[in-house]
Amino acid sequence: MIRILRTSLSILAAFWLLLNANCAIMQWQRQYLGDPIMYFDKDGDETKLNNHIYPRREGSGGGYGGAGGGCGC
Amino acid sequence: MLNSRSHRPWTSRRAGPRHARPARIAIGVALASVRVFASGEGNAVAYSYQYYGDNNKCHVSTNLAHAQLKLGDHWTAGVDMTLDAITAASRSDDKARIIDATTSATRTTSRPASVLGSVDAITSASRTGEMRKEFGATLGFLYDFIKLFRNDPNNDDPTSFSASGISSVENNYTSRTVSGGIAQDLFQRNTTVGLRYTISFDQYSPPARFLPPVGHESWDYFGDGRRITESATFSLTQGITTTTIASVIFGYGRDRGYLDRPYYVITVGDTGSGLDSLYQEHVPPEKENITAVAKFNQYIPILDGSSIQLDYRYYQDTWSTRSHTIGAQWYFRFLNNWVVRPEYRIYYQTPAFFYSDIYYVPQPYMTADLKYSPFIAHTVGGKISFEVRDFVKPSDSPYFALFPTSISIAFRDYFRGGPTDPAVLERHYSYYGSSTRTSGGGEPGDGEAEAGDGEGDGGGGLFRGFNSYWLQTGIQFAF
Repeated sequence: MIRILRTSLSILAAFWLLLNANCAIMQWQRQYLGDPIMYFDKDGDETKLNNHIYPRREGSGGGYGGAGGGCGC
Repeated sequence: MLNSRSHRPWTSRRAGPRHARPARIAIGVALASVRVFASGEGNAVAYSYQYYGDNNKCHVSTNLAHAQLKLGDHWTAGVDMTLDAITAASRSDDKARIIDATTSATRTTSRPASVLGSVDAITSASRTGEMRKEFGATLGFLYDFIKLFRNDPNNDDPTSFSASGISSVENNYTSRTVSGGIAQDLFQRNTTVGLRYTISFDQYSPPARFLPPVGHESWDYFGDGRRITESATFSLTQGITTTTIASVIFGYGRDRGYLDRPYYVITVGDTGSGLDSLYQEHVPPEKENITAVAKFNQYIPILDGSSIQLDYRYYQDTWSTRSHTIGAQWYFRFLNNWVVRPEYRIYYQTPAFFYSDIYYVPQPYMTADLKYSPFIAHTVGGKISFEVRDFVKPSDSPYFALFPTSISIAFRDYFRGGPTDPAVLERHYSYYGSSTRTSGGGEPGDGEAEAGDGEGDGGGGLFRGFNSYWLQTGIQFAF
């Protein structure tokens, strides 16, 4: 049941994204989207430092798409 | 009239040795090239400092310098350098013999006859230190191919390529990483799809007394303690409304080779009877994982601008670990230039299939690292920064003049619970520092000083779980 629910939600989310892809937001409507506080990776150096800490404490890591140097931790 | 050239013998001396001239000429040409191609806008240098501490008696000071240069309309180049200065308590053990987890075969090579068969295999507890040096370079290229093919001057869907290389060196560990990615904007920049591939080549070089025995499946997987880590991600970012943007990232990763840490030991047997033995950590030599990340960012028009960012990550790997991570950040700007960001993160994971609080008999795979145990962790933190908005470099300023554009300070506290069973606690204490109860953080050069595991008692004598904090400051300049 949970699996079906998950799959349904995934399909719904994908459909929603595709639907919105055709509703272009014009250049002059992006004053908020262009604000730096809307950036996903606003401070790359801070992200890099954090991504070097969490995987040393937890059994999982990665998945966010960035490249990082390894260490023997 | 004197020939000026003939009366200036010092000119030849100042020019230096003949072999040095090509290098100087090359540097001069490079600098001249930078001056010619650098456009001025988008150039930045940044410096960050981070202090990390935990109740495992591990302290790390990190200095990160980063420079980015825009070269003309299409190219960008960046370099960064990271220095980690790590201090931690080394492990202590004077009561047990360490045996390999999978085989007791003796060595016939230059490696020791037994894995760690002497009582001084792990030396007395003391403060140790090491330095990790990381250098990276990035090259980016941006071009609107769609505009070119459609011959439409109003099209605005550029393609960006990026490639980077990272080299990380510490006393007994080296890592080389290369990465490449492509991102394509679509629908007038309403949608961005991206692909990225990263591969790392790492190698352990521990002191001889920590080398695994001949025939060790992980150590000899690629030979000489090497490991290869790969990851690939696909991302889709979509503007939903004029105030909402969302992103999903799907990833696949594969780790192969020597994934053990040679300095981690596990107590096997009956601790109370004194008949226990210590074994080196041994984990499977292969691991694959999949990840799914969803991010959501909503703008809220209050104060001078505000946004709420939510993210979720699902992780699953072939070691049976599954994890869920939820993060929330709230940005709000006030007085035009000040930005405050409180944040919270919660993390939950299931254990790796080979993890056990207590090993009564040797197992093929064993670890004492609590990062493979089931737990929930919380992070709370905040950041405040002063940012110059819409910076434009004065046209009459010198080329290399620096203009501060942001300064920030951030703090995070990470804490998680730990075992409460007295038998388990005794077992974990015995892993690190049987006599002094000084928790284990690292041997010189093992790179594990950063891997505080929460096994420590924090110096207080009672297990309180693992707690760490880190402070970050940063300043950025445009030039």
